[in-house]
Amino acid sequence: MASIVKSFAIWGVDGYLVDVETKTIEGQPLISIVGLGDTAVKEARERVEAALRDGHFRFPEMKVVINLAPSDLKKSGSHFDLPIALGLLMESDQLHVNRWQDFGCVGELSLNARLRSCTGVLPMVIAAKQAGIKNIIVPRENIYEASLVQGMNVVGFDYLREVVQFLEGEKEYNIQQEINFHARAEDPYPADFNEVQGQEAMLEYIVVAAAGGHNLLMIGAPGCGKSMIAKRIPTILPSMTEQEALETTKIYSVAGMLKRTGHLIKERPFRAPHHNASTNALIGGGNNATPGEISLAHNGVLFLDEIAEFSKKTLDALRQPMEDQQVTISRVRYSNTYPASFMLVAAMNPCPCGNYGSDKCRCSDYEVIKYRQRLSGPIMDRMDIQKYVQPVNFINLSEYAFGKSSKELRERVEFARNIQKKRFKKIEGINCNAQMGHALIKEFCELDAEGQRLLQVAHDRFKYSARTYYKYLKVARTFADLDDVASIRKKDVALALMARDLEKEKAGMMVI
Amino acid sequence: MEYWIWLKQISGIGPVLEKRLLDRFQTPPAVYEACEEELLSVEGIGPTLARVIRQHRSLDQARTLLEETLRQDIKLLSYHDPLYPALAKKSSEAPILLYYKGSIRENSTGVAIVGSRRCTDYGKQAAVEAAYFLAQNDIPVISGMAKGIDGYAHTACLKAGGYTIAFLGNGVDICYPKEHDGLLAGIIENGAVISEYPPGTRPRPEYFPERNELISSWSHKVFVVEAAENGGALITAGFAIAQGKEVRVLPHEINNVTGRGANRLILQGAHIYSHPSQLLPNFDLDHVSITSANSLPAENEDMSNLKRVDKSSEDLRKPDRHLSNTEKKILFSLSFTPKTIEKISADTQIDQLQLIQVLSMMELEGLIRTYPGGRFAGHGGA
Repeated sequence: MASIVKSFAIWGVDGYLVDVETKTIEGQPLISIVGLGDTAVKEARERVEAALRDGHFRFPEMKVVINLAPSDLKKSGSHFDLPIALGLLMESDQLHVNRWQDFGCVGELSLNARLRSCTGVLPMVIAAKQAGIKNIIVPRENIYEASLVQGMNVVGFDYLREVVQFLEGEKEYNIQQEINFHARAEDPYPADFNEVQGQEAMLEYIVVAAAGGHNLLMIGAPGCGKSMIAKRIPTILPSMTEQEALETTKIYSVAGMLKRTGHLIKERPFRAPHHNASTNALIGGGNNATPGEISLAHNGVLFLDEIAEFSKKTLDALRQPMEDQQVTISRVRYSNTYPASFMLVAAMNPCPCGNYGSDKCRCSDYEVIKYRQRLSGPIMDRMDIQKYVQPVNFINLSEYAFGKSSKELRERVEFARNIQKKRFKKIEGINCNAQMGHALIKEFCELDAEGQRLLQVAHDRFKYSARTYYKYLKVARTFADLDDVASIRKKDVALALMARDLEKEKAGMMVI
Repeated sequence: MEYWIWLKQISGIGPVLEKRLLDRFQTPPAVYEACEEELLSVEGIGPTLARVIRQHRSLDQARTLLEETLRQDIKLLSYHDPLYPALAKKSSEAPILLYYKGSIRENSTGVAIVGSRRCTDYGKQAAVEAAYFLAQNDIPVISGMAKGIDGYAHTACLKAGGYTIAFLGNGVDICYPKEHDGLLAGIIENGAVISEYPPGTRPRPEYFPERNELISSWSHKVFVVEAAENGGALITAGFAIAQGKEVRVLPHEINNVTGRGANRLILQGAHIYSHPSQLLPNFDLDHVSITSANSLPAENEDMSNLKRVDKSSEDLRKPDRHLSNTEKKILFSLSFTPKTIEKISADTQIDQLQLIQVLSMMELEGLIRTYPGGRFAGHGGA
């Protein structure tokens, strides 16, 4: 009978159970691994053979067939080394598992039988839990990550021999590792909004963007502080829930970006890819269809500096993930779906020279329009808030009062978010005002008489399209939420009407 | 028409000789049929040129060009066409054949507005104002569809429902600069783009002075808005002066690099532009010749009837209600230059958060308006 060791593989950001079956057959010494493994899986045989010999185990001199079931799904990674090794030892009567009836294991083997860490441990352990497996063996470096899943029996080792001794019951596992998730050495956000001074008006719109989940476009001359503001936006977003933290950590685990810390990611991620980024880097893809920047920014902020310099194709690829809050990367035989719910914060120059509106700028209106058209209409459309950032006279910085602290702003944001949470409780897939469609806007954006009148005046004066009209309504809704009022007031409308500088400017351009 | 194209395409023969040939033989086919002795009888045609003309006696190239022209819906305006304006024919360099898209109406000559590609907002506003005014007085706006002033002049004219002609330094099937593709379509619909170069000709530096001469010769007056010291607008002005036309120049700050050429024109005796009505054909120069230092043109009797069309403040109006102190402060602060919210707040000591709200309302009421770069200005501003 073949020996079976339980292990796991990754599909997108989720793990699934894999039975590693090992069978020795009379015949020429040969080891063959089947079950659609990639090169890393195939090479396991060399590593395992070397590791077994180095650990003074006997390598069976027979034909060995190893099957990774389910055999019709592609598998990749070096973490099958350990289960293969254990399977071989069991099959050749060198290992008798006395301790556990059922266990799962992952880990890469070095040629001298050391266990190396591997990626995707968190989703694999989650998969184990779902499959009802309680006991998990991982490389010691992955123990923190594996322990993030509650109610599991996780043990971590450095050497193959230790694993064998432990499983045979020869040695006890002594829990030395102090696992403390809550200890955090340094403040995750050394940056604070109180360093942004003299731009209270701008800050108000950033708070609204954060509170309503509105995407934000900042326009300004080079060096006016766009990036400084963007870096501080995660500091005012509400703290992540356990669920959100786990989702984000899973993605980082799959992407192999957790190795060092192994801790749960509790801060909202801030990703700022360079404008040279390829579509695959941004959306996800490559050989193994790995997650891209938009997924790494899941539950956080994706900051696209100089957004006009990104290739148009790359930007347009953002449209569908922004709509669905997830992205599906398709390959011929399979497709991976990664979550990608992020707040898009972008920055750009107002015109090719960057000094639009000052005497220095000599760009013609046609050039300015052309430049701005590098952002396609649909992308521009998704930017609910488009504000100019004005350079601050830094010589006179002392004149400005210290700005509001991130903590203060975050309280306002969390307050408004709670209102929205209640509002959208029953509606699937909608968490914040920015995600409302026309029907929901009609339902939830009720205006009081004065607000209604003001919006009407604005509509008559600036001839807004229906689409723009709704956009203003959504932003006004968030302004109202910040003050906890049920129907949108005149004040909220007035503030919302100032939220889209570019659009207003376009109306005044001398172009055909 | 292929004979016209044939005649135009002969290298070594310019507009002057072409016209002499036409004078002598009446029509291009007659030129085509003429023998060498007959050709020699035309003044300026020596044995070499006569031989060149005879050697060129093939219509193949002309026919291909004509086919291409018609296929692209490009029309031809020959020297003998009644639509060819008499004013334009006055120039000895007037081409005998022009390619155009759009429509050439009777009275297609007008006022040229030319200037810098890299213009200031001041220049832009002046060009826009002038173009609006001309459009409202049904005077064609002539320009070169270049970036900057040219583009604004055409655009403003079209926006005011006027007729405008653009002369290009390339074939009329090519849009240069590229960002003007929308404008090009607009001009074709409500005016014409004209070029003496056959379709497919790419823009080349040496074509532009010739284009500038055309701009000048189709115009009664030339309005130079902003011209750098060696800018194309100066070339146009030079042609205009040579053709004896009135050149009006917008005065510029002496520090403004893109205005130096224009200021030099003024130094050299060009007339200063101060009001769009000066661009009207019947605006009498002598009439305004200033007798006393006090009678500025703006106070001139003729001009007081003409309302100034300032597009920038057109949609602004005076408040018809009592203003709050805050609003008064803001309006006062905005009376000279456009300012950002941060600047207004610093000047008036009004809290920025309160300010955005008030500004938004004031804009809706039309007391202030948005300016490029997230700035605001009131009545007197900009």
